[in-house]
Amino acid sequence: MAQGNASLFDNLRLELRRGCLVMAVLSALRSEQYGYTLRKALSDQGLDIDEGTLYPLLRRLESQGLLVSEWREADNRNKRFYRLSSDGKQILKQLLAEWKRINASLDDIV
Amino acid sequence: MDLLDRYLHAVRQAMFLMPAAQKRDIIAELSDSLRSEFEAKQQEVGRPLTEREQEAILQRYGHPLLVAGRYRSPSGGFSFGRELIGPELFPMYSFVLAFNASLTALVISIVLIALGKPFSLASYTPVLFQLVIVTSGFMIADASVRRAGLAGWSPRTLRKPRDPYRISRVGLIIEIAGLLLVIGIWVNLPAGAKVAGSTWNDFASTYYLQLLVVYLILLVTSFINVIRPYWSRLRLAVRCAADTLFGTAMTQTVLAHWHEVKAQWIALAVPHPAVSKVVLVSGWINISVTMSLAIAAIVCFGQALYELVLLIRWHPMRNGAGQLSPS
Repeated sequence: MAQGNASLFDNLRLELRRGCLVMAVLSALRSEQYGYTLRKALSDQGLDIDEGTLYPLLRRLESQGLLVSEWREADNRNKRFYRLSSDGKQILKQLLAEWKRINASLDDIV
Repeated sequence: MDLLDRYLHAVRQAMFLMPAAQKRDIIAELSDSLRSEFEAKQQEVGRPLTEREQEAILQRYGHPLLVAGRYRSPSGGFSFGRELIGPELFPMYSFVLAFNASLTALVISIVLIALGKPFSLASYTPVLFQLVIVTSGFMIADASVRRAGLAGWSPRTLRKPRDPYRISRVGLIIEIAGLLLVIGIWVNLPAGAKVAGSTWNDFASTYYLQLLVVYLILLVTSFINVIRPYWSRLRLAVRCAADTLFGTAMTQTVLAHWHEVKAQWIALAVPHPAVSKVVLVSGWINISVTMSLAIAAIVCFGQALYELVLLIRWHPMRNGAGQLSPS
């Protein structure tokens, strides 16, 4: 039962994190970064995200038009730099407003 | 960086059916990310990383099949109570199943038509077997990948990438020996050609000079390949042209003699008692030579196609310094 609860908790935690990660990534990419530095920045802020989740997420957000990317040389290597697109800025603004509203409601409920 | 190369190669292999440009893009980004990770760890420990430390970083990134699967657009999965084939392996599963099932159905249909038998649902039972076999195989693979992904797998067990532009020296030695033998036979052809029947006589006399020149060109390129065992565009193009020429010459000869060989086959399958042994043997030699030329033509065209693909995609894995490049 304890194992079942742990697995259930993991699944619920994953669901909870999913939306938050999108917001965190979009927010962090208000300034241009490449994958490795972005992961480090998020991790330094206490939000660990593994590479297997981050890179496919960046690609998905780019295909949705929320991010733009560009290959450029830095530190003697080609790197893919990501930043928020104008659509991304708009969506992030709406998401943050929604997040604050949910957060305020949750504060009252829990 | 041997482990890193193996890892990137394994991820690239696992991303099959994905557009080549997208694959290159993903591998380049993954390669940069892993190299950054290696460098950061190297700075932290103040020395080059041991194989064990490199292995730990790669293991944290995840099994190549699972990593490749995460880049695919969501394509569902196969579940029966619980998930039996996850979304990472599902695209590969559906492709293999569709390919095997349609090929089996096609072969059964051709056999039924050839035997003049009626189509029935029972004749297609092997398609159902394919469904069961492929599904079971992928269920086992999915379970083992997941177990390996959780319990720890080793990048050391991944296969080393094979550079398609590298020429095997052993293969070259065999090739040179073969070419010298063929040239020797070819130069002395007029003496022994008649034994091989009309198809061979026609092939040898029509294309004698052209093929002799091609053999000599191939011999020269083979010697250059021994010194420089990586294909250059020019040498690959020469090889592609030579294979196309061989294939065309053989096809033309086979087509010119097809009806004659067919009649010979019918006559020799149930020979008349009056047919002499000499006629019988020479007839079978002619049929065998024609069939061999037909098979050789298919092999030559297949080889030429492969070389053409390498030429068009031109993406050697080694840079100027002979080092494996990341993508």
